[in-house]
Amino acid sequence: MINIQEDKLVSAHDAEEFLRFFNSGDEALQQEATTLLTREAHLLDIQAYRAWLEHCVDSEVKYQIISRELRSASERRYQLNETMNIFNENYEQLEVRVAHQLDPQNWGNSPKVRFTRFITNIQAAMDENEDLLHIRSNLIVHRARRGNQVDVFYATREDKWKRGEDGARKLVQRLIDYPERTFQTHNVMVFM
Amino acid sequence: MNYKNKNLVSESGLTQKHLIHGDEELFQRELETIFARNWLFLTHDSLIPSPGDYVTAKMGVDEVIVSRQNDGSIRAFLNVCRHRGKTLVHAEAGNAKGFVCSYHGWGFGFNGELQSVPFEKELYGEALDKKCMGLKEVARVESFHGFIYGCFDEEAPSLIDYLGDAGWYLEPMHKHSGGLELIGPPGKVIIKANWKAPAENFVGDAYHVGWTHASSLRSGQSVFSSLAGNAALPPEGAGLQMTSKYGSGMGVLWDGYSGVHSADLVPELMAFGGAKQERLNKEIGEVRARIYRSHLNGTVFPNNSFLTCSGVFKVWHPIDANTTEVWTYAMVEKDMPEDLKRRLVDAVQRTFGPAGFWESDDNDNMETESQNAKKYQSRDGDLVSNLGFGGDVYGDEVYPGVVGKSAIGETSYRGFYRAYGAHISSSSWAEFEDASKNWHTELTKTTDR
Repeated sequence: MINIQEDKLVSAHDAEEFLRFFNSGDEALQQEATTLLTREAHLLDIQAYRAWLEHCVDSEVKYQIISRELRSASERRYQLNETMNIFNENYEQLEVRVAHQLDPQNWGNSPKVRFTRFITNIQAAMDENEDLLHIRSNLIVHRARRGNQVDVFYATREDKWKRGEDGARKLVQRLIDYPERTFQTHNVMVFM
Repeated sequence: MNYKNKNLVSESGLTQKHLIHGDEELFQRELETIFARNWLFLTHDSLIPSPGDYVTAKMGVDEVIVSRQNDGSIRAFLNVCRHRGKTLVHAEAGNAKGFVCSYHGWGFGFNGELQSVPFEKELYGEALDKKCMGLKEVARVESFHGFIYGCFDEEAPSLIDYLGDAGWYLEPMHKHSGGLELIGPPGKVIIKANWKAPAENFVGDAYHVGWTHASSLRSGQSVFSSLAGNAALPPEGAGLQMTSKYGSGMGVLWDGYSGVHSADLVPELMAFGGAKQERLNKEIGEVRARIYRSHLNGTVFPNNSFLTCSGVFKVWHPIDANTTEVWTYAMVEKDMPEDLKRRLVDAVQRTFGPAGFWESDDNDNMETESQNAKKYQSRDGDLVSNLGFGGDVYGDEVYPGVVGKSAIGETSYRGFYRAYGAHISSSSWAEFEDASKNWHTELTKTTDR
């Protein structure tokens, strides 16, 4: 049996990490994080996916959404994979998804699908050693489709944003440990 | 409704009443005649390797605990406490010596026996016969090369007989490759479609691929990309379709390998499979060795679908006539390098998991086909599956089953719905067998198009 979960979670369930990264109270960092996430949400809402990749996403990105199997709280002996990857994408794989979304023969996107993103609970801290901005945020995505199909996605995101050669920060890691075990949403064709 | 006289599926499976995808009364009939009677996928050996390992699985709308016993056998029990009917286990997988109900604390062993009742002597005295209060057991549990299926009906044929002619096509990958394992946990998503809409699509619809999946074919850099937008038909001799007595069937796309995946993965998978060709040619002959490296899309009747080589493994769990819970696992060959397994598992979920871009292409087809089955004007109409009818054969000297020798057709639809119709109108396996005496002559007729 293989383990498909490569990396330890970044900061979600670890008090030590929390204290290290999120108790800084740095208002400038908080503002920088808010601006990054708001601009990114804007590009995704208007489905400017190529601009999103160009301006917001680092070429070394690891973009991951996991789903966690339900286990007994006292489970100790069962050792097989506890999580599976809903997304586990590098930059090229995100490019494929963007091409699929923008393809004129993607019948599901006509009439146009509408997205509205809400970002809350933003916390930011700098990892000085690596010049990485760590951001934790909560996200709601509202998707309106066809006459009466409405789906809502709720998630906590753990990001790392890296400064690129042009000086702008870009997303280099995003991890979402999706809270609902069974998606109620027909599919997960959405960038969170 | 009197289902014995209700012609929901026409002779030879050529048409189906549209309402079969939306009628709630019929859905209840399906629970009785399809899901309580046929073999249903439970789990794989690789997911419960040790004694005490268990998973919870679904059989129709019911939930069962599937557990590995001390002697290595596998048994399955209804996940319902025998006292007041509460769900016993809420976890999806684990290892446990037993299961304790969180309502009053009744404890059951993983062999299903009621082992402990709080304050039994004080409260019940001698009134409780624990031997008669074990968990309700699934009557039959059998394995097809590690894939574990269960059946509530004692009268069902054995699993291998049930797979029938389809087993011949599955064995090159499931057995002769060196064996498969299933990688979980599964991705899970709810779609607003009848369970048969995806089951029929997987059993034999190569027709939709170039059009429905035009955007995935074009963007995903798969070896089938030339089909995007119906730019081309698969060439003559590119594949075949088959169906069998009990409704399982598939399409074969020759030498298709892991066709839905992208160029960064396929060459490696082809090299891995290619290295087995010489051995397989010797052991099972060139035709079945070719089947090993070909792309099979199929459904084990009623609700378990797969794409071999691409590694996609699906279960379509019915919730109601317009709601289905989709579970997606990845199938990998046991002897694959770990890194290749890991990347194939991700590729399966990337294409056909909850966020699978191929899977999303299918959503509207399956959902609106199902939802229109509830509408007043459309529900009594006929859905048509006559493509290629008249050209199918039975008794081919090479290929078992009823076979249509083209990549695109609806041969496997017809076999699936012939079996479906025979079950719906039957009250038992004996009646089904009686209604199926002429199954292959019915499917290979040439005169009543």
